[in-house]
Amino acid sequence: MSEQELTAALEEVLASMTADLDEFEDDVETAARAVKW
Amino acid sequence: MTATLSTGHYPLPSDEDVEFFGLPRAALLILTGTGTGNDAAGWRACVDAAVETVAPSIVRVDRVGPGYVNWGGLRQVRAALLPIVEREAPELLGEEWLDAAWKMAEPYRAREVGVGYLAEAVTFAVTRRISRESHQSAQIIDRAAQALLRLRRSCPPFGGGLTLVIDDLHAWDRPSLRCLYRMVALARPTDRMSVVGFADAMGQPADRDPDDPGSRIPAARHRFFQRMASAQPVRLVAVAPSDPPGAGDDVRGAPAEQPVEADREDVPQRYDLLLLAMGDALVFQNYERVFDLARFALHRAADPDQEAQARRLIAIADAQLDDFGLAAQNLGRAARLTPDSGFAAHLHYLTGLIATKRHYDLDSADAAYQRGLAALGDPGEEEDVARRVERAWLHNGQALVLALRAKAAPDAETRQQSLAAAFDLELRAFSLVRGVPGAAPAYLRHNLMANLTFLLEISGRFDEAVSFWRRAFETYLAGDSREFEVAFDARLGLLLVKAGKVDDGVAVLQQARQVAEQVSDQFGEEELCLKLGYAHTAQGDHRKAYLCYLDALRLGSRLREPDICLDALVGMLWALADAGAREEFTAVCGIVARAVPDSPLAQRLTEATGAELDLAEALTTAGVLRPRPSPKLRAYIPGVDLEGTPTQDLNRYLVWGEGRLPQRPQQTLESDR
Repeated sequence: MSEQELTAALEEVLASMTADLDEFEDDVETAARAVKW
Repeated sequence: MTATLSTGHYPLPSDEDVEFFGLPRAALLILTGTGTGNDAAGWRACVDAAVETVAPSIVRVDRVGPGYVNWGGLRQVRAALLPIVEREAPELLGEEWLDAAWKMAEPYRAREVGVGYLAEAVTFAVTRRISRESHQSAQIIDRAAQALLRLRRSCPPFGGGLTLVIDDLHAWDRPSLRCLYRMVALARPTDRMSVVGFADAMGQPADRDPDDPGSRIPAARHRFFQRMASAQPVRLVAVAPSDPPGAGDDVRGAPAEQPVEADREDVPQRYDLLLLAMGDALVFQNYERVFDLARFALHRAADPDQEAQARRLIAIADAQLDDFGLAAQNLGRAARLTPDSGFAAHLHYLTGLIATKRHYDLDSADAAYQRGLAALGDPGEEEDVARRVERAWLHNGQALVLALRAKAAPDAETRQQSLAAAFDLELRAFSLVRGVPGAAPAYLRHNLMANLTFLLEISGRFDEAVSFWRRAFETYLAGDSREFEVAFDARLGLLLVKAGKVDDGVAVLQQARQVAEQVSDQFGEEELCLKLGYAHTAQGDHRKAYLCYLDALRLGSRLREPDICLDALVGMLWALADAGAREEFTAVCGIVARAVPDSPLAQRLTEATGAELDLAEALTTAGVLRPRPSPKLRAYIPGVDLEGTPTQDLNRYLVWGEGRLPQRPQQTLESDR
């Protein structure tokens, strides 16, 4: 995977995460655990 | 010890800042009953210690029930103290601080202080990991211990001190034992707060039968009491195994193991609730209860899958107790038992984690992950969510192995190949759960984003790591979760420093410290002080670095955490070395030598205090390495949970380390936590 391909793949990851905001409050708790653990 | 202020720029630690290392008093006496009928030395030690600490006000605590129920011990302390408070100081009953402690003694109210959140965390994290997660439980234990101390200070009958006498300490649950330990560890000498407990059946390192989880309890008890005894305010006293004064006839001896056919109030009838009770016990690292309930779970298992579920939880307790051989046996048996290939894959994943994180045996880890993938078979076109989640976790495990292989790579090309393959696996894992609804896929997605940030950092792509971390997680700051904010900023601050945006990094870490302070998360705050020390050093401001490390020392000392204190002292020495403050450097070396004379740090410093040496060079030569902070906040608090500290911080190794991690023998030592 080239650097450009990796950058594009990471952008895709970030773009897809906006869907999670539908269940925002749950996601904050989930994110808190993931960030820490 | 004397404290001097040499220049004012670098205030030296006071006696109080380091005194806990050397407190001579024993405030938690455990009478073990392993002595002889004529054990004069044991009794003398007991009496000597008692004269120092035992208060005129003595309260006897009733016995606990069977099963090492979470907080059963604290419940009995409450029952013993409450009538006195009601009678002598009823105005205290409405106090919030006291109510918060009592809540833990009332199972239904305990959820109000976050235990529900903790139990939920088991599903997401503890069963996905082999490490313990004790930060939240440590805060609860600390709060309860602080409240008991405050009660001693506020309730007139306890004005001259308070001694709790406990007849059956060996039957107490771990959270309550930790609370007792914490209470006496935090007490000032003037509190005259002490505990005398009888524990003549406190276990022994006996053989464990893989088929009998009850056989693990004596060894687990023994390990925990030995750990308690190695802590400063605790002393084991070998007295004769006779009844304590005033006790009934049936007080002593090991709690009789209840037959699994019997009904017991604390053992849920429904199988799913029984497994949840085991999970609740794991949340508080209450391993004896896990094993006790596991006896019932194995007996009542109606089918192989139920037995496999129970064996998974037993294995997690085994792994957290460093019993990796037994953990592997249970995971292997569970994987053979379950008809559910997704669950089997998860069990192979846990086996792979043990190989990676505890044995550093990357080939065995890869083999376990391959077994997991083989159990799942060909995904086909429409793999169900549960199996996709497990497949993604296995790729996540493989990516960690590749990241570790990259660290040990002999050349840059191999290293790059390994890192590229690790990225590829993380992205493949993400694509499996992208947009999939449900809590389990959501937790995994966030975990993968945190790991992608790690990979960017390990690759030296610090700007991208900063950007990715921010964009992945900062949306959630709007959720106003202060805990999230602290963890988010702690990680971001260090990434900014590495990316060369040092002033921004310092500002973010300062903000995190402020929030930790506001929410009374002192365990988070002390770590942030260490991280700020590092960040100020990168700024070139050695004085501020020193002062942050000094703050970490003071907090760590107040919280009775020797690991933090030692890290802080090392940071202070390096800040002084960087500043060329020789006089203060020598003074701090002297303080270390007096406060912790037997520590490896003190021994190394004797080599670093030669007259004309360059101070930084002297520290390096003596093996006192420049502090490198862990990239994340700790998930466990050894000063409270008393379960030890890892000899290898894998996160720290991943972002700072060079070369190969030493491979450990298959049965890892206790100290490897």
